[in-house]
Amino acid sequence: MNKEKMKFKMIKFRGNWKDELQYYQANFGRDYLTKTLKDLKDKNKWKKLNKHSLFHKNYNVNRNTRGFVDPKHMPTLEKVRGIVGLNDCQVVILKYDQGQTNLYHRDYIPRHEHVERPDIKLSVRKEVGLSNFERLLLMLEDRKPGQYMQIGDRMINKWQAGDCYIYNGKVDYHSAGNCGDHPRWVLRITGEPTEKFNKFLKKKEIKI
Amino acid sequence: MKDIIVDVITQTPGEFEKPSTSYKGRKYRSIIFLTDYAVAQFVEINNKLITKWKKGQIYTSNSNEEYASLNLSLKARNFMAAYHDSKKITVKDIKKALKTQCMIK
Repeated sequence: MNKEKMKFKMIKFRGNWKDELQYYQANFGRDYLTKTLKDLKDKNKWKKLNKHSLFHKNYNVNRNTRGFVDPKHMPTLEKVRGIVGLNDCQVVILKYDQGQTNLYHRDYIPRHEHVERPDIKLSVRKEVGLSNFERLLLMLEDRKPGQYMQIGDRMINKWQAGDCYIYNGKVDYHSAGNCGDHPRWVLRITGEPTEKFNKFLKKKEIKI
Repeated sequence: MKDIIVDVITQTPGEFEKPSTSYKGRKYRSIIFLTDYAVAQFVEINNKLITKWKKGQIYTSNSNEEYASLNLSLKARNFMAAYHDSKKITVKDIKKALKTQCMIK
């Protein structure tokens, strides 16, 4: 495969988390982000940081929902946090129902976005803006008709449960969406890389 | 042979056609791209993604094949979908059908 075109690395996770998805709750909404950004005194900065969400809102585009991993009912998914080697590791389940999307964009992780369940304390950053972070997307189910993902110029319509995509979301534009009848499930993992993360990247397969 | 049916479609960001095998009672469905391809514009026929199309290109599928499309880009995607019985179709045929269709309406 052409290395220029290969915009991502893939590691295979093997484990059984299928039954855990029934406990999903859409408890991490974007209203929280907007509310926090509105606290910024600089309105232009607010608009710039919230541009992606505003675009969806202005065009009335339906976005995916997000929910925290519940360690009691989702022990397998919770294990991922300790495996990848990221500090301040945020683990969030993304659910794309029919018509839900995340349009073409690049990532930024302001500190107020980089939070999780109240029982997990994360370091507080001083600046709102880009930080040194990595983001991984772990596919939780096999791909079904109508489900799509794009990273750089790669348009993707094939994946299997356990495929974990690692790419530079700060640089490479990406998007995802679902127009099919079955929900698309993804585990989004974000955090600051450690030496353990570099070792994790050398692996081809992980059992959880 | 039945008349050609033509749909003119603008797919704004986030809009989609769900996976379907509806050929409106015809044997074939041809997409005529009215705008050039942009990354994150998904068009899929029988599990195969179509990319890098140019304005004016036609892609035909037959009624055994499932199609779907989803626009995840920030640009609108314009295209026509023609449903027809003849194996081959030209832009001229589609324009003629569209004209007749508009006059009837």
